[in-house]
Amino acid sequence: MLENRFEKNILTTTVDSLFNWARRSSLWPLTFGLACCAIEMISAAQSRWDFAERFGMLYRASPRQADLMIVSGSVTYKMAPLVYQLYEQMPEPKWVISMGACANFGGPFDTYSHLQGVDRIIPVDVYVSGCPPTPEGLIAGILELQNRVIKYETIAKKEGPVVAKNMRLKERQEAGLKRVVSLNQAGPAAHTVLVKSPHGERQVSTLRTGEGQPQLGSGE
Amino acid sequence: MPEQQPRDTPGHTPGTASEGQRETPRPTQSEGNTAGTLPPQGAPRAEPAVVARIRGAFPDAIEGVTNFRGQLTIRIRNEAIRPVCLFLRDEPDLRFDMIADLCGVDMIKLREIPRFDVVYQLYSVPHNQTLRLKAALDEWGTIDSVTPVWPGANWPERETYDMFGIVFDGHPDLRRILLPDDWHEFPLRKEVPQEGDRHEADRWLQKQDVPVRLTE
Repeated sequence: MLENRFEKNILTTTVDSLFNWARRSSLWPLTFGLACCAIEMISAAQSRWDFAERFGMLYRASPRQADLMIVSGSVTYKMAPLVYQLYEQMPEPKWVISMGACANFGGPFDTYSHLQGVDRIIPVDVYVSGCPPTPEGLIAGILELQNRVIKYETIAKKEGPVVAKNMRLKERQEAGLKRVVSLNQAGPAAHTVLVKSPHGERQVSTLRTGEGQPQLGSGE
Repeated sequence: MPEQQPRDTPGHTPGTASEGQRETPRPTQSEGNTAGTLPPQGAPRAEPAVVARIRGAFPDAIEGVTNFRGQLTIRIRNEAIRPVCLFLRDEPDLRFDMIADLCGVDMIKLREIPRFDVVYQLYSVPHNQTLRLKAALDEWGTIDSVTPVWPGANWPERETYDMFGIVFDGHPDLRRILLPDDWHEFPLRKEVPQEGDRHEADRWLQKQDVPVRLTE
């Protein structure tokens, strides 16, 4: 009876879907550009491609109001602490797009001054290839990220900040782990990663390759 | 658009513009040299007037003179660099009042000692003349700063210090300018590989409280 009466005005859905739909449809990126990729990012936001309006995005000048960081350009060692600080200042949930070859792995700058990939310091959700990527490439990255955001488990995150953070760390380290494991299949299969624990202390996680499936073990 | 048409057509037919410029005899360009320090192209070259003036004022300052395609380079003794620069700046017929660039060169693969060269690119605005000075110094030697002569040499000297570790005596504020203050290497020295010491760089990031995935 109820279903028929409210059919036109009421949708039934889960809270997860609702939240994620809202998050996906209003990703607010941080106004933040590092190199020439930023020019492409800006032109993607201008009237020709207009991706900001199209996807409900709004560039925010403050990291505290942003939930998406587009690392557009090469990250030097001198800039890396600032990038990390900006990332830490963004409230959860937050996502990172690594835009362009420099941010992905260092690009042509295999030099003393460049960090070889921003994923060495912050977790990256989507890598956009190109040097620089075209605005269409960045839009493809945004769409890919939206597909991820819609699958985000809001309720599980809300069980507690510690649980949420651990889960988040786990899923992102697994994402990074696949690459590391595939790089080191021939050699010794153990890696040390420095992470920040939920209480703010340093904690060294050792990533080991088990039989077939990579496993995440943590030890002090 | 119609107004521009007659102006554009004669010069912009392909080929004629560049050939026309190439056929322009060189001496007409050097007529603009009011100071007359450079002889016309092609003529047997006497010692340029700048060199003669420096020799007159500082008899033992010049170590060598090269003139390559009209680019005059004077090699100056290390200790004499600041007085020579002051002289070049202040003499009314020279007036090299602008330092266009200052940089270092690691000469370790080209000669035994001294290790570094410092190169000064000077420009005289009133006379439209350029001049290049070079001075050499040892690995841990010093050279007089020319920042008191040209304030514009301040940051180029800091950059040279940053990249090579060359110390400029009398510089008002000799700090690193591009790299972090506590960086561990002088990256343009020849013994430093192109990618530098990544492990040290990771350690530097850890010192800044950044959790970094270490270089393998």
